Formats: sequence, structure tokens, C-alpha cells
Amino acid sequence: MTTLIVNEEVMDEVRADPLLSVENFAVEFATGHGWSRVVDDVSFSVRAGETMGLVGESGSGKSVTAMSIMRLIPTPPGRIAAGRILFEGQDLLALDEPQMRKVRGNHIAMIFQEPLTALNPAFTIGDQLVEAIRAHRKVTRKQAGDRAAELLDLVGIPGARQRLRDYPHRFSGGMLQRAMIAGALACSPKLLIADEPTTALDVTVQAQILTLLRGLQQEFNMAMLFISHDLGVVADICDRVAVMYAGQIVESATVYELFERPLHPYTEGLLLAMPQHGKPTDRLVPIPGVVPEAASVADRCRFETRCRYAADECRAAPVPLTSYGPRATRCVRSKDLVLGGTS
Amino acid sequence: MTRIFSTKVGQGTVGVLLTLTIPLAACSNAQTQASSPSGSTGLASADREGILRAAAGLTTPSLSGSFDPVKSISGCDILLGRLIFGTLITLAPDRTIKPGLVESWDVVDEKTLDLHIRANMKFHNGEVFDAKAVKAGIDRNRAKDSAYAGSLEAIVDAEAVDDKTVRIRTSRPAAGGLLATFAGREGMIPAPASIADGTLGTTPIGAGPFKVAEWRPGESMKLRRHDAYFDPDQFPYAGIDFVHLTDVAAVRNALLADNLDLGFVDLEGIDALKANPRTGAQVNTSDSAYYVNLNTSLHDPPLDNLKVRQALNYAFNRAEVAKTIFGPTAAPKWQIFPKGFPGHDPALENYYTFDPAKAKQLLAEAGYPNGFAMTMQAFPTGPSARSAEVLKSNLADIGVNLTIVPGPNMTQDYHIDKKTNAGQNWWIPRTDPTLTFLSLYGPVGVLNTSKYSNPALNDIVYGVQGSTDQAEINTGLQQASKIIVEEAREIGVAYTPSTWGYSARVGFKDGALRDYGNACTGADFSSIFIKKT
Amino acid sequence: MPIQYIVKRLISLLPVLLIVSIGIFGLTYLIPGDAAVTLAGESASPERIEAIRTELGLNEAPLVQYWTWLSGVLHGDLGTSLYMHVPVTTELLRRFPVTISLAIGALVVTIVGGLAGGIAAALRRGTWVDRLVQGGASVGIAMPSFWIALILIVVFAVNLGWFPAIGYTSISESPTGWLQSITMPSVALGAAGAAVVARQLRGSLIDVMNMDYVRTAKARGLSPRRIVAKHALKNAVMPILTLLGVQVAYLLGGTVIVEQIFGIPGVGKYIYDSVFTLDLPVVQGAVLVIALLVVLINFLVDISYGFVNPKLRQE
Repeated sequence: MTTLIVNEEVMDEVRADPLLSVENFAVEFATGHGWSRVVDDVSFSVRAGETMGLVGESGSGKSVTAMSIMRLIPTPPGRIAAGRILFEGQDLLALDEPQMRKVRGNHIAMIFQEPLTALNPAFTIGDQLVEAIRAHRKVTRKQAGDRAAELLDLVGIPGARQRLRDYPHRFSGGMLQRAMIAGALACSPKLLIADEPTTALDVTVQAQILTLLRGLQQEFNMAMLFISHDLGVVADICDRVAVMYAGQIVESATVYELFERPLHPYTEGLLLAMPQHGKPTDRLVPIPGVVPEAASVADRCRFETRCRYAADECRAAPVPLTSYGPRATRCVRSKDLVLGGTS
Repeated sequence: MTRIFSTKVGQGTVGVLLTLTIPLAACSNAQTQASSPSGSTGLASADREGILRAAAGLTTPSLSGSFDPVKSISGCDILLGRLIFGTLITLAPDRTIKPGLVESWDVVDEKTLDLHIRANMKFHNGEVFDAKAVKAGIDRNRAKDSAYAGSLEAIVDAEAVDDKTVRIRTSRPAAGGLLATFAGREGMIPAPASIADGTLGTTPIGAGPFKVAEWRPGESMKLRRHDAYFDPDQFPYAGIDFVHLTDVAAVRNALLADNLDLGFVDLEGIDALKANPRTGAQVNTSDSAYYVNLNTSLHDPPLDNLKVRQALNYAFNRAEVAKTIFGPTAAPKWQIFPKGFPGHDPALENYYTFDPAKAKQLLAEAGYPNGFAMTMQAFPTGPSARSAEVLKSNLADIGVNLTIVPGPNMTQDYHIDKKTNAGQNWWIPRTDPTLTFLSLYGPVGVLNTSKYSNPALNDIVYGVQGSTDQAEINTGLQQASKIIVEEAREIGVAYTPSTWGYSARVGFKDGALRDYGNACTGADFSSIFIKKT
Repeated sequence: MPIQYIVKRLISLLPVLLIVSIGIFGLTYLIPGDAAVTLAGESASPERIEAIRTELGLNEAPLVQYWTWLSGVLHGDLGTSLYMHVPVTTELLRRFPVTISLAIGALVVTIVGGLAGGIAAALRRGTWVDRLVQGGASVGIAMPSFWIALILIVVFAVNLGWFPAIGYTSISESPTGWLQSITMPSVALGAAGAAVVARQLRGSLIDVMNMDYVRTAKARGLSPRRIVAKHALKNAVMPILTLLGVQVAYLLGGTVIVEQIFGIPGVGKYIYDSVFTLDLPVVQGAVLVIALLVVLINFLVDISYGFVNPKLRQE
């Protein structure tokens, strides 16, 4: 499949670069009193074949970031205020809508949190898979049907060919998420954005889906941007991880480093709140308070109101993201603090 | 209000009786008027191949179901009947009689009338229209089970004396009445073959000016010129396309949109049509009238008392009602015949001028100083319903408590079951004006429910029927009218104007459209021509 | 969908039809007046009226009259018009194509106008398009069909002369003439329905466009047209279907007025004329057939849910 974004020569030159590079990205939403910045100065990248995790609480801006990559946030009320999103060197924000449609589902695919509602109840699974294939591939309905059966088989649904004729209401949640994954894989995308794909599922089903995703990622040599509020799941599947808080990335590192030694008090808080094998759950320590309005903490460290290490310097000015080799953190006291990871 | 036959005309269902005032000029001896159209001013510019597009009610008349004249249940049938069958006699604009299919007549003696049929006349199917056919038609029309058994009851015998002459003998002097009657449905003669083979009901064949080219019941009828008709100038166009349309707003719009050439509209439509250069409108005086029938209670107190009936008449402000409710062109009904029609008596105008004080006084004299209560059936909707409300309020002012019972079923409830003391009626006179008296106050009148009988009135009316002298007829009608008015046997309301709209395609021979009084009896199509473009 | 389901639904219609037939028969007793009086002609004696009444069976007990009528109906005999002397069934068959073509025209106006308006308003929510559609819908719902008809006539027949103000041309006579004669009546008849559908569709489409599966479709790179036409509409159309069933009933009722205004010789005008002449067999027969049609259409709407909603079909 020839990419439609840039020509192959250009692609070769940038091959070494990250597959996806989000740079100084900001999103604002219209509110009753002006624009509210819900994603602010977010930068991260995903390299071909790797799995990047994006972690944070609800409202941290991780889902908005993910949707923005697909250019699926509604504008209005939203707007992209700053930054670039480079995919294979091409700024997705510069594409017009028809060009962007050729990226969606083709080069970048996406799966969502709630499989029960993510498929149209009025059409069969097969119909919706065929549609996903034929959106970007000039194949006959018959060929697309065969490919759909293959895909369904690939994601581990028994009796795939028969089940193509079923409507979504005949599928369980786990099976629907498999069907969604099959649809996402339809055009062999280079990047899969998985927005909390296991959150709505039973724990056992979660594990199956994660295993499936991991296997498929290797099989398709596909990069994955994995969005979750659950550090445990992220630890399971991701290579690198960025932690978001109140619209900003507060820390990024490899999964190993992050768990070993977090550099940001918020990351430490998430780790302490995370249940782990072999540890009694009554030792979990929740982070006190709630995520503040970004605007109310714009002039300081945004985590300061909930941070047990907060000092005067934290309130002095907004805190920039500071790199330490391959790692980065947004904490002015990161050098002073020695934070606890998981052992 | 009498549902003698009901039809949707203009804005309501109305009960109608039929007639016309006639009078005739036919004196004995060869009254041979060539009936070429008078004053053919526009005829040189007539488009003789044009088709006139007209609106009419084509459902209600029984002619749309059965074209057999003797099965007619509606006076409205005369509209199509005149065009398809023609009539033996026709009516002039002044309601005097003129020759029709009959060219002339002789009153041989007071009980013998000779009709002289035009030469070389043919039915639409080619059969000869001769004395034999006319005699057969008349015999059929007066037969016991015919719709006209009553109105032709004076005939004892009809005889084809020769090819062109039919001799009619009557039981009493009735020549004038018969001639006038033959201008109505009674004068329609079907082709003998169509009677013989039983197809008359579905396929009307007459000797009239038009034959039926296409017929869709309740939808449309296309009439085309009958080339053998005796006077090609009488209807100087190739045909009439009727569309079944009785809604006055639809008629107006169709005229404005140039989809129609002629139709009955309402007063509102008149203004719109006059304002548009492509259309015109005309309001004609009509002898159709609303009145309040008191007949049912004439023998019962308090309406048996002349002073009471007069009091009711004085109490009613009919001049105001005519003007404000029936429109500026409507005339209040003071007597039986309106201005301009035979039998009209100027002395009777304003006979019961609005005078509540006098009404009260009359009531007191009659022994009802505190008034009384009475009931009246009225049309449920339309101007007549509003006029009933005014009457109620006028009578309340003199202490008479009038209860209005709205209901359309007048014949049953009022005339047969006598449920109320009075009833609103809309009366369309027949071609023979004496039938107004005979029907309402005569010995055989179907609406004379109280069997009221006045020998003096009867003598006058039968005298008129026997006469063919117009002056004599006029005087007789005036005398009869005066009796009804003086005895206050009804409360007149208003003569309803007939309101016509037409397209600019249409011209009128005399400069004006003539009609037979209302939408259902129709326009006079011989007054019309189509302009050449 | 299982045949049993359809059969079961059909059987459940029987009591409905019985009640409808009783209602229609009873309703004619509410029409004031007496056909016998009219039929007797203008010089009728009370005896003659009585004789006609006996002849027509009007003196029988209502139940007997009903049974006589119903057994005729069950044999396809709706009686004979008292005035036209034509079997009601024959006349209805002649007039039905007219009314059906008017109803279909009106339905096309309802569906096309409703879909176009609803989709445009939903997709351009908050813009002038939306406000225009919503305003138009309010007007369309508030304005009675005869009023719309009169406005159309004044503008397009009287002033512009594009369409005839009255009359009907059958499609076999002249297809263009037919289209011309049916356009304004269809718009007048279908406008209210279009307004209702547009308003309803706008609402349900906005809801549906916020559904997760629409987001999925977008994420798969489908074109907006395809998303709306396939994914959103099929789901948004469900409540519209119920609405259309009701609209068709309104629409058939509306033909009585609209056919009168435009002088269209269909079933509606037949009913209108017959009510005024107290032609009871016609009124009963025509209203019965219209009622059956409404019942049938609602039945079909019920069945069609199955095609739109797979849950009903597979279970």
C-alpha cells in the first residue's frame, strides 16, 4: 500500500525518525467563560513497532490527546491551539479532511473503551468489517468478506465465518472488543491507538485481550499508543510510558525505569495506589484530593495542591518538562526527592 | 329550510325547490319568435371552435347517476338537462317564456294547447325529433311514477296530431302554467330509442344543443356541439367541459389560474376576480330567497293569530339583515317576487318596515302583552344561521323567546314531524311561478303541512295558470302575493344574489351574463360566447 | 422474521377491524339527516319517504342493518351509491389510484422533505440552516393543509401559472400532466408530515451522531456521507417509522380536504360529496377502506421494525 501522505523517497529519509511525534501540542475547549486549555504543551513520540503508554486519571487529557491524533475531537467546541502531530514526518494537523480520512483506519486505527456500543447494532459484524476493509482497499465484497473472516479468526473468535452474519447484540463484551480489534487491523495500520480497551471488561477477559494485542502487535509489527488509567495494565504491555496530569505530561520514561524509580510525586502516588501481586490491598494509598482546573493552577506546579512534597518553589512558577537523558519529568524538586517505586 | 333536495351550493347544504317565474308572452296564435340570440353584439368575434370550461356540481343531481329525466330527484338536474335534452319552452332573461324545441303554440281553447315543433330537428342519435317523440316524452313525464306526475297533473291527454303538432288537453284551463312548466325539467324529451333499449339512465340522448362526449360521474363531463341543433348561434362554441367543483374558493382560484372559464363564487371571490385583469365577475339579482316558514303552526296558537304573525314581521329588521349578512347586493324579501320579476308589486315593498313598538302593540292587542315562546329550525351554518340569530334577538326585544333548533333535516323534522313552530327555508322558484303558492299554501302543496286552504288564493293561482296573457298573469301573481304578505304567512328574509366569476376568454352577447338564479340551476349558457384570440 | 409472528400479528388485528367496522357503521348514525328524504325527490309525500326508508332498510333495527352491511362487506360488496347508482366497490376502485397517487406524492414530500430538512439541520446544528429548518418545521406543523394549499395556489397557479389550480390528470393520460396536477396537492398534504419528520429526525440524528459506533465509523475513515446515510440514518429512522405510520393516517384523512380544494376526483372527494348528500353506503364503504388501509399500513410499519431492528428479527 502506497502511503498517500508523502512520497516514498521522502518516507525513506525519515524512516529513522519516530513513527508518530507529538510536539508541543495543545487543545482548548470553549466554555462559558472563554477557552479552557485541556491539553497543554504535550510532546511524546511513538517509534515503529513499540508500545507507548499514556497514563493518567480521568480528565488528565489523555483521551483528548489520542482523539486529536485521529483529528476526531469535535471542532467546535474544541480547537487545536498549538503544536504539531507528525506521522511519518507529515503533520496530520495540516491535512484537509479528505486526506485525513485516508489516514484514519488505514495508517492509524483506533479501538475504544466500550465495546458494547462501539459497533452499530443495526448491521452485522461482517458488514462492518467488510466496510472497514473496503473503506481503504479496492477489493470486491467477496474478497473483503474472506478477509473479514480471516481477521475474525485471527482475533480468536471461533466459527468466524458463521459469526460474520451475527449482529453485535449476539456477541459478549470481550468478543466485541476482539471484533473491534479485527476491524482496526483490517488495513494493517502502522499505528494502533487503544483508548482504554480493557477497562470495561472482566479481569480475565482483560488479560486475554492484552495477550491478543501483544501478539498481534508483534505479528503485524505495529506501533501502539496504549491509553489507560491503570498503571498495572500499562506495565503489562507498554515499552515506554508518559504520565499525564491536568493536561500536561508530568513524566515519561521506559516502563521499567518508571516503576523502578519514578521522578514525579504524581507517578509515585499512582504506583502507591496500584494493587500489586503479593501485597495486601489495604496498604493502597489513594492520592488525596481531585485534579484541579488547569486554569486555577496555571502559574505553578499543577500537582502542587495534592503533592505531599510541595514546597514554596513549587508555587513560584509553572514547571517546565526537564529531560534527564531518555527520561523527563515536570518537577522542580526532582533532584532533591528520592521517590519510591515498586520493588 | 326544506331539504327537498339538497345540494352543496356555495357555502352550505341547501334545500331547494324549483321554479321560475315565468309568464309568458305566448298568446294564442302563433307566437313565432325566432329565437336567435338577441343583440348578437359579440358574435362576429366569437370563437365557434372554442371549448368553454365550467364548474358545476356533478354529483348531487341524480342526472349524474341516472340521466332519465323522470328519475330526477333534484331541480339542479335542469343545468345539464337544458344542455343535453333542451327544453320544449325556454325562459327569457325577464322570466317570460320563449320558444325552445317548440317553435310556437296555439291555445286552441281554454283546455286545449297545441305545440308546434320545429322542422328538421334530430336527436343526437339521428332519430327524428317529431310530434310522436314529443308526445311519448310528455306521456312518460306525466306518468304516475314520474318525478313530474304532480306538476303535470292538469294534463288529461297528449296527442300527435301530425308530424309537427302535439295537442294537449287539460282538466282545467292551464295553458300558461303548462308552457312555463315545460321550460323546466318537465320539458325534457329523450330519444325514443334510448328509452326503448333502456340505456337512457347511463347514456342520455336528447335533441338539445350538446351531446355527451365523455362522462365521469362526480368528476367531469364533456359536452360537444350537436350539429343538428336548430340554432347554431344560440350556443356559439364547440362544447363545454364541466368539472365537478362546488367549493367557491376552489372555483375562484381555478378562475384566477386560468383553469376555468365560468363558475359560481362567493362575494369574497367577486372582489378578487374583478381585481384581476384575466378574470371578471358579476352579481345577478336572483329570485331565490331565504324566508321563515310559519306554515306548520298556522292553525295553532299563538301563530294562528294574524296580529301575532304581523308582530313577528314588524319586529324583524330584515333590511339590515339583508345588507349586513347577505351582502350589499342582497335585497330584503318583503314579498313573494323580487324587483324585476313578474308578480313583483312595488306597493308591497317595505310592507313590514322594522317597527318594534308596533310589533309590541300588536302582540298586546292579540293578547300576548308579555310575549310567548316558540321554536324554529334553522340551517346550522352560513349566513342563514346568522340571520336566524338576528331574528332571535329581534324577537327577544318584543318579548318573544325564540329557540333555534339547528338541523338540516327540515323535511322530516319540520314538515313531517312538526317538531318546531317555524322553519327556515331557501326557496328557488320554479319555471311556473304559481307553483310557489301551490307548493306552500295550495291544496296539493308538499310544504303546506298545516293543510292551509284559502279558496280566494287558489282561484287567483289557477286563473294565472290558465292565462297566457302576461299582463293578466302579472296582476294575478301580485294579488296572490299580496294575500300572503297581508296575512303574514311567512317572514321574508332576503333574496340571495347569484355571484358568478368568469375568465377574460368569455364574452356575453348582451354584455352581461344571465343565469337561472343560483349555482345549481346554473348560468344561461346561451348568453355566453368565447372570444377569438 | 418468522411467519408465525406475522400471522399472530394479523390475527390480533381482527378485533381491531371489528371495532373499526362497528365504529364506521355507528358513525353514520351521527350524520344528521335522512337519505330517504333526499331520495324521495322534491314533491315527496311522507308516505313516499316512508316507503323509500323501508326499501333502503333504514327502518330495520341497527344491529340487523349492521349485519346486512357487514355480510355484504365480507363478500366484497360495499353496497351501491344511492345517487350515482354505481356499486361503491367499483367507484372506489376507479378513484383509488387517484388518491393513492396523491398519498404517495405526499409521502414522498414528507419523506424527502423530512429527511433533507432533518439531516441538514442535524449536521449543521446551530447554524442558519438549522434555524431555517426548525423555523420552517414550526410553521409547517402549525399551518393547516388547506392554508398551505391556498398559498400554493395563489403563488404557483394564479401568479406564476406553473401548475393548474384544480383538476387531476391520470398518469396514463400524460405523465407530465399527472406530475403537474399532483405536485401542489402533494406538497400541501405532505408539508406537515415533512415538518414533523424533519423535527423528529433532527433530534434523533443528533443523538445518534453522538453514539460510539459513529465515532468508530469515523475512526475507520468512512466518509461523512456514508456515516450519515448508513450508520446514523438507519438507527435514527426507527422512531421516524412509527411517526410515518401515524402520518399516513393523517395524510389519508387530509385527502378529503385537499382533494376538495384542488378538485381532485379521488376517494377523499368521494367521501366529502357523499357526506353532503347523505350517501351512506359510499361514506361507510369509503371510510372503511381508508380505515383498513391505515390499519394495514400500521401493520406494515410494525413488521418493518423487524428489518430495522435486528434484535426483533433474530429473537
